[in-house]
Amino acid sequence: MNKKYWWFLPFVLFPIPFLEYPFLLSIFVLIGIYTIAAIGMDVLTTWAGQISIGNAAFFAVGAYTSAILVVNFHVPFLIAFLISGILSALIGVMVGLPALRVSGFYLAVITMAFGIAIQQMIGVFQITGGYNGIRNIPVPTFWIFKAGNPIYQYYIVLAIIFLIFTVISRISFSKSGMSLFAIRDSETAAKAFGINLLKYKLAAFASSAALTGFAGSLYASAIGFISPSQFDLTLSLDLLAMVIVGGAGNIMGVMIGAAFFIGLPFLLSGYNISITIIQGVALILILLFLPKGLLQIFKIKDLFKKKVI
Amino acid sequence: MVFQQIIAGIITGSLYAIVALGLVVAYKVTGVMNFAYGYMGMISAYIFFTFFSMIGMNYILSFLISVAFGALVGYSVERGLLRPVRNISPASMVIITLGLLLVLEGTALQIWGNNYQQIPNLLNGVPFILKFSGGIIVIPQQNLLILGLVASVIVALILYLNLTFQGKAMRAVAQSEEIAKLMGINSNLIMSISWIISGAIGALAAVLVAPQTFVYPDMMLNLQIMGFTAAVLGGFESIPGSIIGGISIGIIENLVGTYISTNLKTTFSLAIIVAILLIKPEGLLGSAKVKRV
Repeated sequence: MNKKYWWFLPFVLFPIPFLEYPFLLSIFVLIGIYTIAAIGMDVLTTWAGQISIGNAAFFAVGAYTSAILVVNFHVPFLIAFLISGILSALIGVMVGLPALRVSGFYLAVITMAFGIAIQQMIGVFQITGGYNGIRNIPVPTFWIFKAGNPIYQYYIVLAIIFLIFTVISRISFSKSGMSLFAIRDSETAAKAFGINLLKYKLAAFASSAALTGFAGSLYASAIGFISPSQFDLTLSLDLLAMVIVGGAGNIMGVMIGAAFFIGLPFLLSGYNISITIIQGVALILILLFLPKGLLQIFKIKDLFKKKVI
Repeated sequence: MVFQQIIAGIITGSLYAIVALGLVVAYKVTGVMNFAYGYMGMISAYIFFTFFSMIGMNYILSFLISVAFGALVGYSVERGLLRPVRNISPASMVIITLGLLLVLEGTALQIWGNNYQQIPNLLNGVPFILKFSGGIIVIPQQNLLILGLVASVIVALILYLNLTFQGKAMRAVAQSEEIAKLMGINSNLIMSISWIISGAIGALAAVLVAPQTFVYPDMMLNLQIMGFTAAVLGGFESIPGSIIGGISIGIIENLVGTYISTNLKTTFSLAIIVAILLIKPEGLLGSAKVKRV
């Protein structure tokens, strides 16, 4: 096995001390699910340089597609999971189209508008259960993996993250990855080198949407209850924040960001102080002192290096 | 009926317009897209509530105090939070304002709790009724007050930017900070002033909209989203643009809500705006930018 995959081993062994604590395990599962969604955001922002504050919409599309298929039509989870990713990707292409004409803050506001529109539509339609949402979404069972202990969900999510990591590390040094980096650095220059902007920008949006949709599908089955209010503007901003706070362009960093955002409220829930204040202060402090994200702490060598620029 | 809806749209739109204006003033000078803008205003609405409803102070005096407080919030955010990190990436800047949003929301929850607090209208007299051959138009006095205040803020701002030395300096910094500095302009001072103006405008918008929305931590969310959309529709860089953008969004929203669907009001309005932006990506009054490679 290649050396770069070794860091995954600790995550396989990690939950063993917690086998008796299903609540903690379910939090780790949630962290994993948000990591997948945040990787989707990372692909869009760090790779292709397109800002989006509407990714909660893809999350919602994934969650609702999977929940409706499983609850109303009794489709096996694996098929519902794949369909929700594909549907999200199609919608991602639709949202990506404006990105060919607008960029920067304009794109940010268009994606924000899209996120709000999807949230409102989900609240109005009958099939999505309106503002009451969908309840009692079953936990998927694969052959030996029966519902009950979230340890199985943990390994499913971990396997998906591993798969994504493998694919992404292949792509990033291929022609497609390089083309995306070129578009991020300068669209005009990329165009001059014969890179097809249409193809790569839409591909970036589609893959970001697909990853977020997969995460949404897993989320629906892990939580068991979804309603429009879970997929608001704050979720979109949180996904962006996970990438920035953890460390953009690095799956480990994104995972740290997700752990920070999902784990912190549980750690602090015992104290009588508003969690949002602590979360906000932490966010600001991290960006003030570690502008490249929490991952910087672990690269101690870099911390003491003198900055050239 | 149509006229009544258009007038109502202009009133809502004028609130969107000043929120957009406040965002644009701060953005043009410091380049920060402020996601905490509405929440900065929300704190001022709570200050108004505290002074007026809890302490029992005079309405106009509490109004002035809360607007002054908004200016103070604007100043301290720029000076204390944003100036030290001026050179980080735009995405990180968005996240810093998100952090600020969380802090403000949490602070409001901690101090004032989660209840919806009520603020009365300043003018509660007989509504202004206009009769003509096509029907009648009813305008409550409070709405006239909103319209008047918004119009005077806009006029004052345009006069300030065009006639005073400081206003000209502000436009110079917005065009190029480097060159403005070389001309001897104190750009730090100008940045503080732009945030003071922006903060005061946000507080004004919050106190004006509070009688309709009630005062609670998320009260400004819708206004802020529509303010952003208005600013982008108008070109994000231009002051007349954001006014036109705000008022047209207000009218579109009211007409869509009456004639197409009340539930999907926001969805349809946003779809129309996205369509406009696709045809004219630089906004209604923005100018296309040519970038050096």
